[in-house]
Amino acid sequence: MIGRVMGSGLSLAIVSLGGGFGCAARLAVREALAARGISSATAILAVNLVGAALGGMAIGLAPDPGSGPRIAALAVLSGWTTYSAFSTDVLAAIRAGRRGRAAFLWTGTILATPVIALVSARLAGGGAP
Amino acid sequence: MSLAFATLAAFLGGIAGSGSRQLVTIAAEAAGGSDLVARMLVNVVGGLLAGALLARREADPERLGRLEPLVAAGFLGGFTTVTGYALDASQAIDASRWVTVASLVTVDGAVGLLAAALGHRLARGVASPAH
Repeated sequence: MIGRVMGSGLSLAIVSLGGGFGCAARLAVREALAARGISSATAILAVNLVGAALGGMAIGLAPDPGSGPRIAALAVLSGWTTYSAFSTDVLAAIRAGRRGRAAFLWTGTILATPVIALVSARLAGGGAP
Repeated sequence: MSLAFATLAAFLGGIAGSGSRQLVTIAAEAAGGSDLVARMLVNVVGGLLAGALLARREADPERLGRLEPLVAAGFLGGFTTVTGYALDASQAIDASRWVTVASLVTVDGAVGLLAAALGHRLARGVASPAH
């Protein structure tokens, strides 16, 4: 029981801190891309695609779910990617009548990220994710 | 707001959001549920809150804009995750668990977006009850 509580506490600390770093990196990249005229929605799509590729790579390289490097990498990447911004970007595009844009963001996030993660895991690990 | 201050705000918000996501996962596992269901729930709730925040920001762009790095990019960005969705779905595809794949696409691809629209509508109603 104590070990389980300590394990939960450790996982909470790793996920929280890693997620904080991921969020900070995402904001910095978003702002850097904005300075080059790239929209926030496009930046978030790129961030999510990169996050899926790196997530797949992490589990391909470290198939053991209890692996420390894998847990730390996925903690950072879970903060790096964001569903909330994706959802409001799609909502804003629909409300602006930009249905093609909404479909592009939806396809890139919902359909492309699992495929990218799968391919990345296989390339990194030579097998299934 | 300087970039350094905004990045720090996103870092702190991200710690709180990611920690909250992990607490939901721990609670779900303690209740006999799966981390997959917990992750889907987190994204739907995050979508609802993000939609509400978008409406509030449209009503008061200056004040809510200042909080964006902490609350939207940080807390909600850390609370929700696309990496988790992508890995859950890729593993389900690889194992040919097509019902799980369909469930993931339905929840993350439709229910979460409907939740964002609902959150936006509810918050807009609060912001301007005459409309």
